[in-house]
Amino acid sequence: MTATLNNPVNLQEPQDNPALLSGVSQPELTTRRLLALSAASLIAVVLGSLSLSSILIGGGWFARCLIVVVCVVALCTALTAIRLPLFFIPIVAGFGLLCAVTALFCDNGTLGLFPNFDSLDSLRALLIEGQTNVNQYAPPVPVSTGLACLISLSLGAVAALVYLLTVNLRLPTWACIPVLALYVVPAFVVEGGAPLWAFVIVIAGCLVLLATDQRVLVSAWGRSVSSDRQARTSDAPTGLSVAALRLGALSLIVAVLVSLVLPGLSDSALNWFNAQHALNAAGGDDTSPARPIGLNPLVSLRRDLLNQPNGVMFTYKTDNPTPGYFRTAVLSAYNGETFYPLVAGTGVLPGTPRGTALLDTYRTQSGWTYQFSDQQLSSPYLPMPEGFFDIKTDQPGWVIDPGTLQVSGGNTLGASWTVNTGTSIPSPSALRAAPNLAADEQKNLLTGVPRALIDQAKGLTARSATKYDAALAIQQWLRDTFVYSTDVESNESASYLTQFLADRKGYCEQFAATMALMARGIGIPSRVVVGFTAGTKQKDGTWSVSPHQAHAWPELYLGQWVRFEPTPRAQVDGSGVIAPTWSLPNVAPSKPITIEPSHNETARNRRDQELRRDRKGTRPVVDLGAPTSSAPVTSTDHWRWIMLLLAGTAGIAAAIAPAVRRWWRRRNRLASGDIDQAWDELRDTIRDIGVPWSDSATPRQVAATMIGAQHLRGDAAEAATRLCEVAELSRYSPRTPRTGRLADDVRTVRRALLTRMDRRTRIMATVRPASLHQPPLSDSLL
Amino acid sequence: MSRWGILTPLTRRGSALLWCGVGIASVAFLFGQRDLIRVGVFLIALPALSLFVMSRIRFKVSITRGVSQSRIPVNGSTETSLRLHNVARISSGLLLLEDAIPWELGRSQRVVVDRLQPNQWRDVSCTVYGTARGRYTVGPTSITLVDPFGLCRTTRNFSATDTVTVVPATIALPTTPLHGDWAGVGESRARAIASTGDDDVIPREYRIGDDLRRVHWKSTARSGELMVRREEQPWRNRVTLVIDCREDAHRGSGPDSSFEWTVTAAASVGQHLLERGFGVRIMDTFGTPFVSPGQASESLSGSESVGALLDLMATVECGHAGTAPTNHSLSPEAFSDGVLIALLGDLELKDAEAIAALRPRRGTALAFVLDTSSWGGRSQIPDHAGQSRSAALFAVHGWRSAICGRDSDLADTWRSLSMGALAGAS
Repeated sequence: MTATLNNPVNLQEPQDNPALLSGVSQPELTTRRLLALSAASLIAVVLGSLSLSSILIGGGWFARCLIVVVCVVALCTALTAIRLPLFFIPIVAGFGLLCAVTALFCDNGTLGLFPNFDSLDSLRALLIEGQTNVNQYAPPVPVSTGLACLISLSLGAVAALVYLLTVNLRLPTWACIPVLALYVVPAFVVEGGAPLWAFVIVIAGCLVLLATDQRVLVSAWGRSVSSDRQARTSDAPTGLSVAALRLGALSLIVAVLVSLVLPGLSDSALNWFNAQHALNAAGGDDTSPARPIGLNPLVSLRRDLLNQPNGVMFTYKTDNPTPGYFRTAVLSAYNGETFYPLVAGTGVLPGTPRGTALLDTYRTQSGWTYQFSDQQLSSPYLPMPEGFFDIKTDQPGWVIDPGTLQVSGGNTLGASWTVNTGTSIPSPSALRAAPNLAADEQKNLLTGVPRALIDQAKGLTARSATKYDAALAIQQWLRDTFVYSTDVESNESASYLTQFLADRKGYCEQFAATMALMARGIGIPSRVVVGFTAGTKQKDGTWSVSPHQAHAWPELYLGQWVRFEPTPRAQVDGSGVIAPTWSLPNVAPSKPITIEPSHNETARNRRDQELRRDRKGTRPVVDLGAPTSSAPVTSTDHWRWIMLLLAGTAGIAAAIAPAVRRWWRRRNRLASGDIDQAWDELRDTIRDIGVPWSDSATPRQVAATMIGAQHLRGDAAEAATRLCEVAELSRYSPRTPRTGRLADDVRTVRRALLTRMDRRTRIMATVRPASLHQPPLSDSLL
Repeated sequence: MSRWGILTPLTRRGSALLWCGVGIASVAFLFGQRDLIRVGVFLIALPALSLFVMSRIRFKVSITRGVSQSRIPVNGSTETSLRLHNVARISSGLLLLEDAIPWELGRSQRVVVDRLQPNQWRDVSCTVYGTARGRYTVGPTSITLVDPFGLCRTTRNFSATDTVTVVPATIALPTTPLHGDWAGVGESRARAIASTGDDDVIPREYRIGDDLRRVHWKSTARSGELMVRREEQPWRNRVTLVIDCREDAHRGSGPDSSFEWTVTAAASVGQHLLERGFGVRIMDTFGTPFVSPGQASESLSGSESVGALLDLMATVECGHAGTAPTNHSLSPEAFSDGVLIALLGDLELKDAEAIAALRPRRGTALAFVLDTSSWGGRSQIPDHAGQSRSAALFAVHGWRSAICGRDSDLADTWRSLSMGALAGAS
């Protein structure tokens, strides 16, 4: 018999033949296939991790990450080879990862390898250091030990995940997601996107995963009868690899070409949309017109925070190693709904003392210099460092408001300016000594302040000796009991501050306004300042401020205008929010640091010494970059609690895992609507309640036993009979039985069986189902 | 074909990638994320190109299948071979070849063929095992094309098939004279076979070479053509095998059942008698003859028709749905001559009587009465007569009968039955 087949004949849909190259039936994992898949996942993770080098400086991290990743993959391979149950593989792999990281980065592990509490502490310190590095520097980030540790740990976790998905679960498509995630990091972080080569190698990694899986499937599909010279050497045919290379390369070229052409048409659809609404004041290469001056700066602050996490607002150079905040607009007036700026030049709030023109106070021969050149920011306010005394700009039209020290009136687009500052660190003693306002002036301050805020403030500060202590109490209360979140309602409603009090979450604007109003409530004049935090330091030594670092804070008048910081820092990492030294109770009352602006040089040295001493005394040696940060470091007890909590969670997870597995299996079986699956489910239900099941019993015998021995009556008996009939029909009759009520019937029988059991059996059937430990018969027969 | 017909070759993985790509690319386009657009476009391009490449694949392959034995006994095996010949002028890519083999014969043969050069061929062979009686179709062959990433799959089918018949594994029986009484007299076949036959001489047309002395003048005169007397023995040595195919009459299931034993015994006896020159016809207890499609008459004769007999026995199925045997179509006239051999399962008394009455007046009748209880289970015949009562009844009617169990040796039973020295018959 001979048949010749020409193309194209009888084009068939891919059938759901379970054995035909679909994921349903998993080919047996021979050693060769296991090794091939393991190698593929290793290659994919390593290629993916290479793409991280575009955001890191130096290559020292790579060797250590490679070691960790290889260890994790080797461990997983060994675990799979000894056929450890799937449930345990991630647990053991996670422990192995911890050991590898401990051995590489900590020198105090048990036997140098196993983690203990000490090594976990140092590991945690390293991780915090790495985290700080990430926040501190704009990419590319120089790699410290801490950062290398952080990256190794993350890559190890990614490797374990990729391995699990590729080898154990045979879902290589899903395994591509963590690999692609490695590419998305540089894509979002690096300005201008990730480099092309990063894209190419990450995609290559994914393709290796897919191609290896397909090779395994093809080799498991049948005998290979390729030509003799290659037949004995390779498991899968070589034609597949050639085709894979060709197809992968072609798709890559298409993707790169299309992505080069597409965005050239318009930078992005969203940008175009934004340009239509010419409110956009900042961001990248956008040249939309300047915002009208009447617009409340708070509105743009909110938009900056929410809409434009990336991009650059402005850049500057300074000789100050730890630059502070930059003020732009000062909002002195409150109208019962929101703070707003007074027109420049008339910035005197009725009822408050005139702002002292501090310019001369700060004037010193030596101090910090800030250079801003050719800014892309388009704003009517000039970002100014605190405590400036001198400003040189080539642009006319800028006006310094002596009351608020805000500089406005021009447009910062294309402007360059240089600012000199002195240091202004108020001494707590001086602040405590500030005189109180007269009673009627205090009363004037209360105009428009919500009653709730006044009461709250009075309650909080009842025991405070001075206004300064009262302000500290309010700040501490806000920092401790409120949560930072930009996911809150718009501030347009009159009651948004009341809402803030109720929800206890909000962002800097609400913290600032609340503190300012509470201060007014107890008789301290206050205003809200809008501006930016210091930004992140770039490779070339300049600092760059992004929209994400837009900020608002209150200034209180305690003999002089003093900045406070009620926004909790820990929750807004990366924004550079740092509380000033004088506003922290643990520094301020006990160790007054008084620095006269005129003794600037020596003062700075002294201050640095003080701070260093302070750090040594109270915290582990973790350089957080900013000397005045209030990292929530209390003691290692905290950490141990977390470990115990984690262990407890893992224990609970292990305890409910069988129940969840059983539930999942039941759900899938009943959802399938297949009588064989439903019958398996019935068998497992019966095994779960501890009744022996005979594999050779016919459906009729099973139903009779169930109804007889378990005393099923009524609905349950009917359901059991129906199940038996369907099973008989499907096994012995050419007719197709109706399977519509299968799932309901099985559930009915199960419920009836369970209610007839005693409580202990019921619980055990749910929590420790016996059927999980017995292999499904149908599989073992085949 | 549906609206998405062009996408049908995509596997689940392929379509997942495609739609993920569409989603990612459109979201990335909306937000101006060039890097994500790249990813999205790649995810679209990979399955799309794979689809395109697959639709352009051209191959021309001829497949020749050979089956070394088309008839194998139960538990026997045979080789099937496939020859793939690339008759195109370009080399073929990766082909996944599947030769469909029914599960009763083993697993489908699956072969991965990588790169056949033009005019090159490969031979693939595989052994099939007969596990159960029946006629099975081997083939058709299908060829599946896959892409290197598992994104597309196309299957194309050949149509040609071969047939493999799994026949009962017959047992060689000893050659013993069938007519017990004359067993000791001699080896003369004409005497040993039967004492009855067609009475008259039928003349036939003269053929060149016929002896003139055999011309039958009377007939010649009547028909006007030269007629000769037949030289051959006119008497037919005919055997009728009656097989009990009633479902109720048997016990056990699958290969280990009394019915399978019956079929094997019938096939063995039939083959043995055909080889000895008997004409054999087979029928069930309802009188329905088993006739293969190309068969001219009810009975088979000659050792060359052993194959036809085995083919018949390969497809005998247990059971019409009816329970009680209705013997009205079986009349003694049907068995007026020749030998009657019955293989019987459980019988009701009246059925046993009805069958016993069928014994040809001048012929021999042999009965294999099965002791079905040795195959386990309970009888489904409500008023079951029991083997020994049936056997006694048969003996009364002049049958020779033997009670056979699961472990009985067919050759021994046959010898004792045909020699007429059986305890059960007395």
